[in-house]
Amino acid sequence: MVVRSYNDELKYLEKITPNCWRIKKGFQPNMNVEGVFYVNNHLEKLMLDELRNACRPGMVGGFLPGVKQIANVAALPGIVGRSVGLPDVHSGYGFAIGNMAAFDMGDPKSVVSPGGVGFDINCGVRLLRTNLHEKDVLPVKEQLAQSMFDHIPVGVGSKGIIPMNARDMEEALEMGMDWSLREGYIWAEDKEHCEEYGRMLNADPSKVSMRAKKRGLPQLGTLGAGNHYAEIQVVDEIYDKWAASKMGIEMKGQICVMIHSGSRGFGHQVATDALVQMEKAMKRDNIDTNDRQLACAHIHSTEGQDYLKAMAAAANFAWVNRSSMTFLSRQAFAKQFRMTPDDLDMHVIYDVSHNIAKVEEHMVDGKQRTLLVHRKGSTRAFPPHHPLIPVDYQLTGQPVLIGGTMGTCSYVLTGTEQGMQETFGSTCHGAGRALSRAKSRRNLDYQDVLNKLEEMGISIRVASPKLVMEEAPESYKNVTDVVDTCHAAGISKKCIKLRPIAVIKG
Amino acid sequence: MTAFEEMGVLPEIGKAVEEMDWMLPMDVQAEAIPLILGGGDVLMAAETGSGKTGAFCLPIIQIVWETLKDLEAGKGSKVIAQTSPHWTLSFFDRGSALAVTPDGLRCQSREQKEWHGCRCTKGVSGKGRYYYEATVTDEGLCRVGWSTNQANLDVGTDRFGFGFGGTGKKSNNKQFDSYGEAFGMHDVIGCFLDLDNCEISFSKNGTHLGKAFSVPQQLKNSAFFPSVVLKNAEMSFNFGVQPFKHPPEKEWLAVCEAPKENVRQNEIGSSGTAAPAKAMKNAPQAIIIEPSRELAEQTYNQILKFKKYMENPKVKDLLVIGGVNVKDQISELNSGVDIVVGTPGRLEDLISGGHLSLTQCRFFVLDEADGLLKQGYGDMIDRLHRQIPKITSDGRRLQMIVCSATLHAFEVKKMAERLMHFPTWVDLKGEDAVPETVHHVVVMVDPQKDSSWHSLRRHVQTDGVHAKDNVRPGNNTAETLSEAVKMLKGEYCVKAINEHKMDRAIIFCRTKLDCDNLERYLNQVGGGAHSRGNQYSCVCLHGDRKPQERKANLERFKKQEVKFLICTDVAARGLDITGLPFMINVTLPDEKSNYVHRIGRVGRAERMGLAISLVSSVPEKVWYHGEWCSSRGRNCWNTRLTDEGGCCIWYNEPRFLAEIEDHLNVTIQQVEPDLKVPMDEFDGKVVYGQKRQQMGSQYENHVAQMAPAVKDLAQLESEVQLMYLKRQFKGRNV
Repeated sequence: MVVRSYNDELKYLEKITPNCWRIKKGFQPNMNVEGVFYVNNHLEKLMLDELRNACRPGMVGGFLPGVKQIANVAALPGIVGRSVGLPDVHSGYGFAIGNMAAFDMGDPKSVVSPGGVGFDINCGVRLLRTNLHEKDVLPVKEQLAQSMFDHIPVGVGSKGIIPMNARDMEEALEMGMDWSLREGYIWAEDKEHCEEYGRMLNADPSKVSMRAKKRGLPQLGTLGAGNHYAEIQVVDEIYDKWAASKMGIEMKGQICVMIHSGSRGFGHQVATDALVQMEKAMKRDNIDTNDRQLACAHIHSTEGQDYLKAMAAAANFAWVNRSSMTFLSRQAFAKQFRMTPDDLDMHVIYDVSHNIAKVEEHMVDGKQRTLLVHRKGSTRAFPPHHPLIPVDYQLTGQPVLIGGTMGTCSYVLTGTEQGMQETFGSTCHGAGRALSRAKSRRNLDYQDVLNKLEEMGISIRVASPKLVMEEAPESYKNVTDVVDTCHAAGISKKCIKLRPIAVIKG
Repeated sequence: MTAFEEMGVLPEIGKAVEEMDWMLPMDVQAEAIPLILGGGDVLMAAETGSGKTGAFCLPIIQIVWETLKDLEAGKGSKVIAQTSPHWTLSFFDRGSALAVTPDGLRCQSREQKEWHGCRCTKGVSGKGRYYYEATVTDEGLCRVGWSTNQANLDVGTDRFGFGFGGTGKKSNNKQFDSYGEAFGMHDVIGCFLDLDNCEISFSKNGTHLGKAFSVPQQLKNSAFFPSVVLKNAEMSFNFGVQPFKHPPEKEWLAVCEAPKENVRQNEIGSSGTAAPAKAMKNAPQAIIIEPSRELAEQTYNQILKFKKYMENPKVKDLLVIGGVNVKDQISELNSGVDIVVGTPGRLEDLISGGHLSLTQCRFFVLDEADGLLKQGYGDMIDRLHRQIPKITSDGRRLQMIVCSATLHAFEVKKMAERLMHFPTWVDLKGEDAVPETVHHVVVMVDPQKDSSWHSLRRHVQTDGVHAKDNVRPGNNTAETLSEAVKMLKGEYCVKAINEHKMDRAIIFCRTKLDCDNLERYLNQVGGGAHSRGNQYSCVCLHGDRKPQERKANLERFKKQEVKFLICTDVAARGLDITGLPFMINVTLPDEKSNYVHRIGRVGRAERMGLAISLVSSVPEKVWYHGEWCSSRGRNCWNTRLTDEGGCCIWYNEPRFLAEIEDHLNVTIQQVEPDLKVPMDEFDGKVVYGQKRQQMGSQYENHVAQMAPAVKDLAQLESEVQLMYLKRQFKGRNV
């Protein structure tokens, strides 16, 4: 890491629009492209404070601020366009969380990096709608929250309740949501409203280690702890009435269910295994990076291809996972209201992945290129008419689901043309941490956090209360700031605001 | 940010492990660290070298450090500052071995030698008549009453405390006088304080026992707090929030209804800042027990590395093992210590010698618990656990972490059940699934189809249940068929051994008698127990054999001097026999988890094993000696059924088989009575007991088959995206 004074560092940063900063080459060594990050005034302060802290004397090694991480990614071989930091960016393993980077598939030097996808592969958000109104649910809110908690296996170390043996899992890894459909857990139309139709076809379970499979098997169909949750939400505001109605959201007060979960220990193990493999490959292929955590391999190398196939399997795992919880949520609602999920109109509005790498066609400097787009803590946001979004949303643009932190608002945005050009069709994914987990443990008291939620009228069910403080709204940036920045920058467009009335957490 | 920090580990620790070249957490670490940081009890299946030391040490160091930091900052009781408006037992004004439940209404002390007491968070003074109730919820010695805040917690042993003890004595200032009558389990003691007349009295189960004490003049203006002291007992309290069991007369008020002006706070611990700072230096926050000196040293050295960058305050740790001068350890202890790693022997010496105090312990860690238990430290672990307060002085629950090579070891599970608080299992091997290295099959024993039992020249001696039932081929009574099954099972057992050329197997029987009979039969078939060429050489292991014989038998089997070990479930528990190629269930266990245990005997450590279960298609009448049987089976010939006061039951194996299949969520493959096991599912080249070539569920995926279609689809996707781009960017030089 280049050590410079804060003021010297600032010379490499330039505010190009009210919501966008440029990171010039030279900020970190060997940058192939420039970096860019999106902020508003408030987030800008957080971002620069982080940098200033890192510049203080005595802060050596270890901790890299988000801006530096964005710049380090810009130094990876084969990167094109710009290394993009979304408004919710915060420091992560190797890549910052909230970083999008695209690599040219046509360039033999281009790399794929597990750090650019994240440990929780295909962590994502799914939104179900209902035809219920807040006033239908409020009287039974506690019962419903309890019922959801009873139905959905939560928590670290919890076990799935959908019967599953080793063979079933292999099939699920291969088939993704097609497996869930075959086994009768989901509706055929659910697939239509998922990225990739809930199945990455290039998945190859044989590229996944035994260790990952063993670790994943008992966790399939569980919510997981950390920032994962299932929430019962109420439509609080509709910004784009027409787009909302395309999604089946007709009125304020309409009840939705949001599920935020990923591939659990399975994805974690796939990422870990790949990182270990790639460290070796880097030596062999002479790949240099600014940060050891940015382990990567040439896309077309064996390690690169194996990772992409294993990652696809982990993505399928996550879809099956969210599908299982969709099934269980539908059951919980159906039991509570003594109506079938069908009659409750519990359709999947959309399902997004915010930790994934995908092959996509984009324009780079006016030329068409086939890119491997890494989105870590970043959501795909394709504009209207893009062929990879479902028919129902062809005219509105892809719905983008932004999960807030426990107890804060969530948003539905839509993709824009501008986003397609500026950020390869990517936008933010959530609030983004402001305090590290270790910090929030010490600064917040879990009872206070729970009490506060209760005061806000939010029913909460948590498996491990102490972990709550790590996920308290105070530990995160303000999701509204994040979303407003994306809206103002034009990389996606606000459509619906949702507010939680019940939270289920691991 | 390192991968460890993403889990919530402090950057200082993250940096230290990065220097150890730990870039990525091991699986057990990734699963367990968040759990322990989250405050849970964890039971992990992990072997040496799996990263388990890091999995429990990292979060422990972190929490210990955080606690020290909190103490330094004077917010020791941040979590539960007892500012609650309710009357409860104090978490702070209490003896070190006395634990208070989080609701503050029940307390327990498991210390057998000393008295440990506790006072209420509030007291009364001035005037009025007050009442509360205490109920004995577990047998032991206890004394309740009233005391001022100057009083010793051992109520009644100084001028300021007035107690009534379970032996029927009242006491004040160490003077014990007979009063009322003795009380014990389930008795409700009413405690009366009459400040108007300066009198203290008690009632037992609603019967007033008369005046016990007059409050001396000089104490008249003191505040009196409900007080209790226990020795290995438990009591629960009602200060009036719940309706009283024996409501006093009208002029008596429940203490919780005392007028505000008469209520006094218990100063100790109530303001939050006054929580007892770490008073004792020799009281560590974490105790880690290792089965051997080498392991203790290893763990200790790892801790030193992990905490390298932990500053302000420094976490102090100590290695407590034998072979080192105990004086040095004691002086180290007295200079202050936060984490103690040690072996059981020396640890217990120091604890019983009073050199190491358990009062501040918040982590109780048993590494390689199966090893510790095997060495016979079970009692000691229980003893230590009893002495550790279940709630720490700052109101956090004791966290217990147990590592074991396997969680399926009976003793480990049993201990976890006994001592741990809703432990989460971190078992990356999976719980109660048949290991992939075991091929298990069932053969149905049907005496109606297989009539070979009609004309056996010799057969296994049966258990004699049907000795008087007039069983003979042809009469087809349930008794005859039952007897037939017993004979056939002996034959099938021999057949299984022959068919698979078994040279090493464990054979499970239901009863000790069955074991003996089978042992005799196999030796008979093989030409005698001492015959050199005995193909069926076997030994027996069950509770009726003397310990020495059991040990010798086990040794002979382990050394492969004999081929077969015949035993009962009970005898087999805790046996460490790995990589057995074969197992025969002569009778299915009636407890489904025992099936998994039994199966765990074969195919361990990635060696393939074959388990054959003989399942009778008809009900079999078997012995079932319970508590009602005076001799517990010895020479008992009472063949009436248990519901008629006898010692037999009809054993329904198909039902147990169904339960097991249900539990494991598999259908167990059935083989024909010829006992040939089809090879197709495995690759046909399996040699039981050998390392298996390839792991996995043998699932053939369709990747290769679909590859052309996937390629076409990807091509199509790409083309359609290009068409889109062309349209959108028309005129922008595509």
